[in-house]
Amino acid sequence: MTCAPLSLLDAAKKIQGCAVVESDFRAAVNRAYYASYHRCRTYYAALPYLSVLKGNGVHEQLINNLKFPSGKLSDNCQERTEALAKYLRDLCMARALADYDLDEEFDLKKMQDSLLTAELIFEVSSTTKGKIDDVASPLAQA
Amino acid sequence: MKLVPQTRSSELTDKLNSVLHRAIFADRNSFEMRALKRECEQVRDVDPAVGWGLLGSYNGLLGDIEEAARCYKASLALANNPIVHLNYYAAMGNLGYFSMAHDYFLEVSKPELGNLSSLISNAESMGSFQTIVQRVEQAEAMNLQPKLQLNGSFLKAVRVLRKVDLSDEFVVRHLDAVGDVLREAKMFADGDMEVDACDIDGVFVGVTCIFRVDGTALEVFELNQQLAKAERVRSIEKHLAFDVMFKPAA
Repeated sequence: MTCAPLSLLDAAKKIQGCAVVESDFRAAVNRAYYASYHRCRTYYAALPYLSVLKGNGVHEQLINNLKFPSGKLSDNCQERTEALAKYLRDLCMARALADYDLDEEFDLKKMQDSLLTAELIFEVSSTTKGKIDDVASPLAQA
Repeated sequence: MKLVPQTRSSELTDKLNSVLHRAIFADRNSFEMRALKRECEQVRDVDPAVGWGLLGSYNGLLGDIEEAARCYKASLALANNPIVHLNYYAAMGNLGYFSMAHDYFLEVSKPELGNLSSLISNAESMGSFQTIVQRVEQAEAMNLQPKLQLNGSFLKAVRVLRKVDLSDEFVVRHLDAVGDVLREAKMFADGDMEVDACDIDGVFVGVTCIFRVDGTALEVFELNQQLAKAERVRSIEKHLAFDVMFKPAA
């Protein structure tokens, strides 16, 4: 891979760092979504059991696959995968609004919200050599 | 918009609201709550309809929906007060019983009953999307009340839900799972539920209901995992065009 998902997230953060006008906000969300999409695709491929579902296009298909994980996965892994689907779906919607709905205001808060979502996706979906890293529950640690 | 119970006894109402704004269930054994209960009971001795209503709100703050319902029903049996209907409805939402709240809204929001305008702002945050629009249309057709304004993002969500053929009952079943998670954490459902809607054919068509909660991003992710578990326990039917999630409060 010549461009890692993390590089796309870095690009999103760079745009965020110098974002001034609405078109900048929209551009940052676009990069944040694609970074997250590729990150989640890697996460999904690393699952020990896959649920290959259909969707209208690769984006919908990936969200569906995360939203309906294989029942063979552990309860914890299913819950984490389903929660991840909520975040990716949310970001997918934000990206659709950013890129296509130019008549509706897209403000700074929406960009910040989307970047936080993307960062969280990266934090909870790390993989090493094709296997998903275990993330201890933050509440269990407390 | 906040799901804040409103009563006629303003001083006591302010005290009850200040407990509600702490966002977590109150402890019935605390000095403050025991004192509040006594004050509610004193009001009940003078004005039973108002007093029972206050006791309903008091029990709602403890997270006790059964006792809250008993008190509100006792109040409504004495006087059919729209404010008590609103408080009862708000308590169901605060405690995350959204299907119960939707059924109640269906029952008491008929335009001819005179409760619609007081319930409507709460209802926008409690999942009764299409029912609200139907009720407003009915009220306008009957010339029963002035035109009620519904906000733009709410109406967009209604359009999308109709387009993808998802009912209010489908929506509130999802919200009930949110209620399960919040009650487990002894947290009130924030009445500021956000609604995001997107209607771009071929790209994305869907609605998301968002509940803002205090906590770090990872703690909120943990709540979303618990939400996924609650959805599975309830065997909730999932659909790409609709979802609910927690997000960190700003």
